[in-house]
Amino acid sequence: MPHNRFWNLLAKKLSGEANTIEMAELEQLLRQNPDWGYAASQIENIWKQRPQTELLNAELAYELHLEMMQQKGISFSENTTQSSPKIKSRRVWLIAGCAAVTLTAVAALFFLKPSGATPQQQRWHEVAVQAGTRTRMLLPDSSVVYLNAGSTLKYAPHFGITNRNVQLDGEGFFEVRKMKIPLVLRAGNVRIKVLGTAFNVRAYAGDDQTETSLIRGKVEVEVDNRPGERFLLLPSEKIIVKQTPKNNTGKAAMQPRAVILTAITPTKDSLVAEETAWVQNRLVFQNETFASLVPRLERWYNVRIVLDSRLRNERLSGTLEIESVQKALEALQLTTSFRFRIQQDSITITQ
Amino acid sequence: MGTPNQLRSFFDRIAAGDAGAYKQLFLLWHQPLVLFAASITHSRESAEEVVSDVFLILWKKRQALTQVQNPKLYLYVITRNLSINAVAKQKRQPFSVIDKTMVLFASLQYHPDELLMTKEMHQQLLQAIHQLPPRCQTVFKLVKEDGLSYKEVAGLMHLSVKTVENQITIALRKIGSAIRLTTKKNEKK
Repeated sequence: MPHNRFWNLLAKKLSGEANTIEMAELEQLLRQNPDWGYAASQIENIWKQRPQTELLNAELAYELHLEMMQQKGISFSENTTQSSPKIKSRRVWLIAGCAAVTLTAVAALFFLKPSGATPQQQRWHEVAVQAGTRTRMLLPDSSVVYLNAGSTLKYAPHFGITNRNVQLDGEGFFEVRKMKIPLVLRAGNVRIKVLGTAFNVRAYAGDDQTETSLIRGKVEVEVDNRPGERFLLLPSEKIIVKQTPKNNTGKAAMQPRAVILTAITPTKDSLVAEETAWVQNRLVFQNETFASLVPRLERWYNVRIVLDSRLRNERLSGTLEIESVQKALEALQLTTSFRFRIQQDSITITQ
Repeated sequence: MGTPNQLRSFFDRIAAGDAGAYKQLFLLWHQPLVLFAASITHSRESAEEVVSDVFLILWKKRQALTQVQNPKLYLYVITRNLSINAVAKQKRQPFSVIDKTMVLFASLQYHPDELLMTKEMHQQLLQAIHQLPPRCQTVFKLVKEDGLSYKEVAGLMHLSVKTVENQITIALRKIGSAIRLTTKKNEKK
């Protein structure tokens, strides 16, 4: 089939595998089929594009790599002296010297700048996700954050350089890059300090608790109004901090009441925990009261739900893949008896 | 990523204990190897760990580097082996997040204008590549982005040279028809 032969020869030409006979054959095929010429020249153009160099931060990766070698006790600079000791040790000094100069320069930049810095540079960056959608974002230090519906994430100026401070209102799953600077996350009534790990935090403003679930690594949790106490989480552990809901007097209301340390909830699919299922676009709930499920459904589907108070303590379990809210409620009706009525974005659930 | 001779000289200098050459090699090869590892592990985090381990081995075994026949293939083979180990480890570890949005084709992340094509065609192109079977994508990527020969890819992926040739042909044909489809549609407009 000449068509297939044409692509085969073009591939060989581009990858440098074609010999002169094959090159000539390709030329001839192109002359006989001029309409293939355009696609062929476009492909050649694409083929010649060299990869973008800035996709990953190689310098940062190299620093982490050296740290890792050090941790494993592999001597890097000292043991390299076998071949030419004198030159070697001088080179090491040179590198150290350069690093010191760079450090001083960076330090100078950040210690001297604030006086002259414009407010623009000092402002926190903000990423907000609307109800009904979820998103995945990359922080400047190349940590990955998945944000659940109706969440807002803010990160400090100079994030990844002088600090790694973030604030979360809502729910996020964090895969934090290992770095010397700890990532400090403020959410609800807790402060979470991490070096490199994966964890999930749920702290929506209206919730009566803040949940931190650890998947990998290690995190340190500090709870507001409990100074000096630090909770160290191990993988598959979860910490729930209860709080009294806001009262009329305002701010003093965010007082933590109780701290519960528990395990994360595995689902039938052992690869996913209930706490992180939303990252895979699944809404999972196990033995949850209807009252606490309603705000999650509202955010997930971007709807308003009015729930009959007699149903508040009804317990529900299930997994919802992205479907319409109508289908979701119909599925829930299979296990719990209730009726619902949809009017535009508002849903009324009755007994 | 440098020419084969450049890589050869890096290997020889590292074998002699040259820390500067080691750093340069890391900076040059970090990205292509991470992307290759990610095509196996489907996780950027573990791909970066794999590549760090590749360079760890390189340093530990530096005395033997002068004897390596094909330095480039050597880098890819270690990366492949460690990636496969990492996948086995991931399976034993619950709750790992698989990142399906991992970018494999770093050269196509440019703005369409810079690639001298319309936005629509750029979309079509990325979609066409995305729809190729995973093995075909990896073969295509190794030849196009990493500049490996058919024979090297065949060795790396335990395929015959003929299969590699066929996979590349399929990739180009699919991409070619996506481009032709777009231009035909525009002609009709």
